[in-house]
Amino acid sequence: MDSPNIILVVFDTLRSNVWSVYGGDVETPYMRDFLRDSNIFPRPIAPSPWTAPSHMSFFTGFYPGEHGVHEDMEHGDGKVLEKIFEYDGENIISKLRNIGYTTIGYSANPWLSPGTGFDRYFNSFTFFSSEYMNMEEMNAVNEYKKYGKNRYQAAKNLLISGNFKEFCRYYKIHRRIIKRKREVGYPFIKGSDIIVDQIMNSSYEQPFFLFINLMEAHEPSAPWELDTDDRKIKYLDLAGKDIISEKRMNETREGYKRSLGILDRQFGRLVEYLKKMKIYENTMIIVTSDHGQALKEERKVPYYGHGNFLYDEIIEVPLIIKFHGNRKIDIKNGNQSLVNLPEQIISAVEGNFDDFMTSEYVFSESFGPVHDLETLVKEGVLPSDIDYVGMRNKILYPKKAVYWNKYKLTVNGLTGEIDEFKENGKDIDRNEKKDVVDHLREQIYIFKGKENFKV
Amino acid sequence: MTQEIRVEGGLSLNAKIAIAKVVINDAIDRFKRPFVVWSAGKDSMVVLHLVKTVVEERHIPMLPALFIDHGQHYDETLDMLEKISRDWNFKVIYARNENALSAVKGNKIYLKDLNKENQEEAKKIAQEGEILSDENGEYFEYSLETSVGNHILKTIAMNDAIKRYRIDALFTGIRWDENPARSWEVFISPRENPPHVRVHPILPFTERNIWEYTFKNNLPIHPLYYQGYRSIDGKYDSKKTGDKPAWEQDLEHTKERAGRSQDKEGMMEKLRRFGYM
Repeated sequence: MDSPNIILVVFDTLRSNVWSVYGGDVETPYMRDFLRDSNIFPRPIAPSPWTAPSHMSFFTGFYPGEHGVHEDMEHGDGKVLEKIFEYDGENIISKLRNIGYTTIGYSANPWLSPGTGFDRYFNSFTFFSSEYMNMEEMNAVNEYKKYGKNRYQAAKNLLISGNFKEFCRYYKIHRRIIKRKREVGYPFIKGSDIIVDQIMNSSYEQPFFLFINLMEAHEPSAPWELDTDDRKIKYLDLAGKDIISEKRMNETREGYKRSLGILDRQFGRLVEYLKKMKIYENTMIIVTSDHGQALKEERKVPYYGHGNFLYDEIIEVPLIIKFHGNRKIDIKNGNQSLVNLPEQIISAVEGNFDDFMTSEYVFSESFGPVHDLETLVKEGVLPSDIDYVGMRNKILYPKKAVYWNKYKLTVNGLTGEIDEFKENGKDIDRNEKKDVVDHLREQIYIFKGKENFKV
Repeated sequence: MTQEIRVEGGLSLNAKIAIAKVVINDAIDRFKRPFVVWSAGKDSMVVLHLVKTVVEERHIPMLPALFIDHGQHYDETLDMLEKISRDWNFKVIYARNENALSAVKGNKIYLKDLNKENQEEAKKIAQEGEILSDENGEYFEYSLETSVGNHILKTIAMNDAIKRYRIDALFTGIRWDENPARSWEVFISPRENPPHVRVHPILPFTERNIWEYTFKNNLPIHPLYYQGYRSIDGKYDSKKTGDKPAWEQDLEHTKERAGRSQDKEGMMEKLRRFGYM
């Protein structure tokens, strides 16, 4: 048989437990055939709670602490771009290219676009901004930055100064943007339709490796979120300064679930197309996510978004693999680490269909806030009286989690204290299972290596 | 002897210590998860102490140690392990081939009692005459002196630990003057299957240097060295090379591993190829 084609589809920000396949209540009828032909891995864990480190792990087979592309306490994601460019280790895309694959990427995530460095290993890479309406909006806001820190202040200042002509122009731009957003269905639709259209209208030399990142599940998930910078929403809520109301959160939860329906439809179109072209059978299709999404569940620190926290809903993601020949494989008992993806792909290409995804110990790690809080304060996104240093040290500190059998332990890297100890997804008393806690602490101790992380 | 043994190049012990520290620092800078392979023997004790000195200079915690437990260690070795790791405050990770150790019957390991991976490894590495058979089937001796025993009980155990703990650098105490197969080693040496590097800080040390360093720094000494052993590993195979303490023997003109038959010509090369230190 010819070398299989490979399609890696990342439903960005999709946690597993909303999906019926993983016990959730969202059904995906367009994926029914695909699911029937696939292997569903029971508990896959994302190596990091946000885009850049996780994708880097998918491509390299290393954890964030190993490949080095991750946030840090002081700068958030401020140094991540240069770290992507600095990385010179192995990656699966180059490996596949070297064995004759055409490598193509489509992404709706700005972190995965020409210019961030993620594109460099691909033969071709196309970025469709899921926020392209926002981009225009941001340009407009930038233009009006001279009048005020944000668009409301700019509008207010324009009115106060009596510059009505400018005010009207500014208002018109906003109206147009909002109208356009409604036309494309933003924030619910974020470009997956365009990407699938594009794929269906292109032809690739086989075998190909096609990487697709779709952003529908990523915030914003409800119209109310469009009014403010999402970073502002997150951090003010975390600081207890401007708490997201339950009503708004419910709209967001509904929107989030709805996104899976959109992804289902677009993915279904892609599968139909592959069948029509008679390449479905000999294509390995992997569906997963880079991280999930917290929707202010009851937690030690309730949170909306992803990044930093290693809550189940942020790092437990789907992993479904349809191998070429629609082969079913023996999945081992345990948890799956998405850092094993390159090994699984390469082995399957070579004809070895063992389960490489499941590991005895599976980790996930974060290194500080995803954003540079100090800069956000300086730029006026966050108010100047926000205690970002305190927030960093008390809430957004580095964390590492280990999964082992039915247990999960999360540790605070500044104090060595335990954040979470769970059995089968439920919090349990750490004194009852002291030996398990000690064993898992030791695993995190070994895993952290020489990193300055207290265990 | 087909290859010329690399000598220490006329350097003083202090110069060799300086080199060792450069090597250790470089490895700590470059690798995420370095471990010290430690057996409580004289060489790994020196490496451990050098690493301890470097991490103290850098104000970082001591690296963890990897102890290869082949099931034949002297009680004294295990006692030392516990005491020193407690006194020096570092973690020891035990690498064991559980499947092979649980298959030991008397002094035999039957292939049928091993899992598929161990069976394949045993067949791959065994020298002629090492796989024997009796009425119960094919077996090899529970010994560290054969290629197959060494590979299954030590190398496989170590490779499993490297994979399981995602170890990217292993510090070991090999020296150029030990054996021709080791005389070509370099300070930082990449390995495949599983991918990692071996870090060899004390390559230029002679056996004499090891004892000089040990006494100068007042390092703990395994009791067996006092009894005339010069090289210690498994309790069934290590043999005395004399009656005098190791450091009082003729280190320069007699073989260090006379007590251990493992370094037959050719065998070391093969073991090295498959991952032995």
